[in-house]
Amino acid sequence: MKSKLRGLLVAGTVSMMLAQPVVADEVNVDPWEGFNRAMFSFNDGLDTYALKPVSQGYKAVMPDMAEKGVSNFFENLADVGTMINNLLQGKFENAGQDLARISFNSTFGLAGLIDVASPMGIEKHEEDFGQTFATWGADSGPYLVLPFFGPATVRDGLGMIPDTLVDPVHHVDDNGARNALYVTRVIDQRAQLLESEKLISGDKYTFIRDAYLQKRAFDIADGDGENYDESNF
Amino acid sequence: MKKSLIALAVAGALTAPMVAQADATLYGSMRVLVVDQDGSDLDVADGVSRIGIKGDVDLGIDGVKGIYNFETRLRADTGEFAGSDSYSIKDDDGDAIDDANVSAAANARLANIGITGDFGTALAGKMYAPHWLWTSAVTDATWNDAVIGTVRESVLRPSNTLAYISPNMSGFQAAIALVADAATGTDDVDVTNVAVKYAANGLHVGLSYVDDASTASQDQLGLAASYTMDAFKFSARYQEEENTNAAGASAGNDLETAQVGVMYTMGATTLQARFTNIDIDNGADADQWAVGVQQMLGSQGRVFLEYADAETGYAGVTANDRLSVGYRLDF
Repeated sequence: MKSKLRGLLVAGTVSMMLAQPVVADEVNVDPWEGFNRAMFSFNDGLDTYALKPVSQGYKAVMPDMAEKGVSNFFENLADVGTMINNLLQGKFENAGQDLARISFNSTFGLAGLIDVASPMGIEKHEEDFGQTFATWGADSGPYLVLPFFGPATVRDGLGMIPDTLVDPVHHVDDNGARNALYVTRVIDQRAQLLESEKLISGDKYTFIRDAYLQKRAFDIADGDGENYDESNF
Repeated sequence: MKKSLIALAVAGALTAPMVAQADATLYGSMRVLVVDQDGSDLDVADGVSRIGIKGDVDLGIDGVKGIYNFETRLRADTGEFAGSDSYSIKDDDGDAIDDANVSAAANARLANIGITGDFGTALAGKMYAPHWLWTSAVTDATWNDAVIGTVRESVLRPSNTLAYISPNMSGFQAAIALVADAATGTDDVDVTNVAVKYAANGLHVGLSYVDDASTASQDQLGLAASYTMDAFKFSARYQEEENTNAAGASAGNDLETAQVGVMYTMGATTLQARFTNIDIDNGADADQWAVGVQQMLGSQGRVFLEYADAETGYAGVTANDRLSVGYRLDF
């Protein structure tokens, strides 16, 4: 009888502890919020009045199939950077799959317009230098909103520099063609977000920040929940 | 899916009811390539497609079966049953080698019958030489584009051949093949090939010696090994050729081939690379790099990309800056 009571007591305490919000040593991921909010409004304005209308027009004009082709084309180019970063992270098997993806998508997939590799069963990965630096042990640093480029952290922002260097579009010799590719890619990426941005509610700045940081942590761990470390975004 | 020729058997039974139909297997491999090679236009090419029939028959002797195999090349690009047996094989002067080893007989690849049992296998006809099976194939057979895959083979599928292959004795096997063609050379036996191999626990070692007295005299010694370790397969091969002219003196064009290859398999995807060095006494040496990526589609289909770059213009190395994109179905 007594032990039963004690058991109840323990259970009660435990449940009360669980009910308490866990206040860990909160790492302030956004010490530069003032600056970031300013950059965010700039980007948001730019998006509202330039990029979003253009993307909406693009989406309205382009047949779905052509839109998919454009996305696939740029995804195939992105696989080049992914492969290099998988090599740098020591994920050789993933790098091998990336090589296979690029090989087959660039040939059978008509220069990447059709993603034949995915139905063939070759897994797609997304890697960049920000993730590579994280794998090597670099901390994310504070959250940072870059003008034009949008949400980043100090680490991911620095990672964008080598990302550009390994970007095949960067190596297109003809200026006009290169710029056309850059513009098309930005519009393509924005158009892909048109659906998902409807989910945004509450403070847009906070929403995007949290979503970004969470997504990066997830990507760095390659979706491996055990290595998910919320104190180091 | 091996297709049994039941329909044929039924048709045959109607016309010749006394002929017992053995279980013949129709098989083949269709391989089509799109080739972009330096100095050539784009080519939709055949990747040495082939079609064949094989099977065994009961000879009424306990533990002994009669076996047969016929295989012919079928060009996937044009549909014709044409072309020489092997892909263009050149000597060091760039001339096609024309002797018993490389038959010019149109498109026939294999045509042999034999018996097999506890004692081993005896075959007669046109068949793969033990030299190819146990040494050359170790570094060549994993490549889909035959031009990239083969650098120099003078003993591949000899005609007019008698061969004996021993049974497997705890991994060891020995073989001897004799080529006797009255139309070739002056000796009774034109080519002799003896070979041994050991294969067990992921390790393959093959050693083969060829004495070719057909037109001029040639000796070949081949040594090859491969080792499979998890997803990796490493392979290496060394081959030495000594050529003497009709007078018995050195022809001055002795040749050494060294190859190392590595293959990595992850699920249905395979990556492979190979390096070949050819050292020839009186001619330009050659280095060839080849890389390939292959994706199996089910168990009988595959697509692949293979690229080879050769450093010199040695005629035996035909794959110079060659990119092949291919699709292959086996049946």
